[in-house]
Amino acid sequence: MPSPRVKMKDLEKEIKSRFIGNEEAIRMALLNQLHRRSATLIRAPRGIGKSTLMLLVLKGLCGDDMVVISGASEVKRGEVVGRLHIPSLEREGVERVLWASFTKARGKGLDEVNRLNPYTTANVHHMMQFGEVWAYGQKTPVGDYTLLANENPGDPSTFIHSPPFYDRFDVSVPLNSLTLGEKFRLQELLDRYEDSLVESMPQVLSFEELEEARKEVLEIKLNPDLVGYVNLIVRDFQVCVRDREESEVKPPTLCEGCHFIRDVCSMIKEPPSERATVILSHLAKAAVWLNGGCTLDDLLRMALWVFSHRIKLVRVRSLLGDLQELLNRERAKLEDRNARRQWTVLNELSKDFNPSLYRLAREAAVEDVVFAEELMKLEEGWIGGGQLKREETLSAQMDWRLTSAWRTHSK
Amino acid sequence: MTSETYKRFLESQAEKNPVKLDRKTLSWEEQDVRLPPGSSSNLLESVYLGREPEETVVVDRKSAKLLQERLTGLEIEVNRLHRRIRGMKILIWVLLGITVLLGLFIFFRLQGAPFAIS
Repeated sequence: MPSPRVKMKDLEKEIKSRFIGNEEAIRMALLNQLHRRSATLIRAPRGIGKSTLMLLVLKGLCGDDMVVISGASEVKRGEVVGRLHIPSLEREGVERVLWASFTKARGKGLDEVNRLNPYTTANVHHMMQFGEVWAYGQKTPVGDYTLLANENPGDPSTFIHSPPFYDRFDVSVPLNSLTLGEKFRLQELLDRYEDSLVESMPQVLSFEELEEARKEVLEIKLNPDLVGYVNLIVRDFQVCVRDREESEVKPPTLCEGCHFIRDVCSMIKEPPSERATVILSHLAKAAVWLNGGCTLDDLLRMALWVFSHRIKLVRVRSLLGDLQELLNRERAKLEDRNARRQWTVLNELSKDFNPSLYRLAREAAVEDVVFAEELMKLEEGWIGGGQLKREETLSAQMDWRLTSAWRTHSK
Repeated sequence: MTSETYKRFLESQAEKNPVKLDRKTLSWEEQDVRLPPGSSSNLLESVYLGREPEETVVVDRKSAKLLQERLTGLEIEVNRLHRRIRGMKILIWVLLGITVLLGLFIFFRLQGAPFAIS
């Protein structure tokens, strides 16, 4: 009997045989299925195939054990979470909740999630956050599931959902329109399946096999380099010496006169949450499990899908294009750090204070905020040990203060 | 408290990017470094900034011309200084002669010798 790994690869082949183009999006959507309570957001303009891809993945993983709620229809809380059992209330005076099939199904689909009303969205949000649903003062756990949602960001008849709600989606997968050659292939495909691409989609692996795969992925230990790169990529997109997260003034105004005005940080208005680190780690583990390895290039490619709905840029021409450019700069920065032996220097300094190494580290730190953060933490220890005077530190000379986050004091 | 994985990350990076650490200096060998065509290795840095040159030095036409001009300038400077030194030597001999004559004059004057200049 084929292993869950082989079946996952079969599922990818099956979906690719029914969904033309967007191969990277399919790969990423499937990779994201390999951890508990996965949530995938598919974004595309109308008619590109968002719902089709969502249904293909759900059918391939859950068969008939799936419920799709359409945000375009008038969905009430009772249909998503649960409704009161009136006879019990009338006869026994007891409030019994009939939990909706959406909460019980392992495959959950949210079509046109941007049209879902705020009350229903709040219930879904709670389910994604805590793995349970609430109605009439009662709660029920929802267990493991796979959730796929789709939306058209350009849809005018839409609710504006809060960033924390979108943050609950692990990845955001954009779909592109088909090229000329791909359109021909789609027509052939529709003829072959007689317009029943989704209906004829088989369940390639059972949900129990998916759970087994998720368990195996969870047990994978990433090597320290990969963990380090995951943390570095996210931190480079979060860090700000002017404490952007707390500040009421946001970039680009906040960045005026800043030492790091030309860095990646100055391009980011809202940084990714810490959840981005968790998801990138999940995806890296999934890639190791499925493909036998995960490289730095793989991580940077995954970061594009993990960051795209979690980040706000200062200027956007094309979100994905601009984000890709920042990730290219990030790659160059990671290489530059290696070329400068920054982590080697920090490793030596973390063992013992050495004035020559410290001078070298300071030179690097004035051009690298994340490195500066780590160096400043070590400085605190050296001041306590009498090896360094406070006025000689990087924080004193650059006027940077490291508390829970970055704080700057203007002289 | 530092995370164990963070420590292992730093150690792993240190293994991959080793450095030679002396008492005061830190150095490392660049691997797979290829200079872009038409560029020089760090010869100019070694000439102007006193840095240690690499084992093999590559010089492009622009840098060679720069060095040639620098050498020509230095030769002119050396010739100029030679001429000045020669002039200074003559001046020193003349001043020495005058000093000796002046010394002899004072000596004989003190001895009461009829050494009159009139």
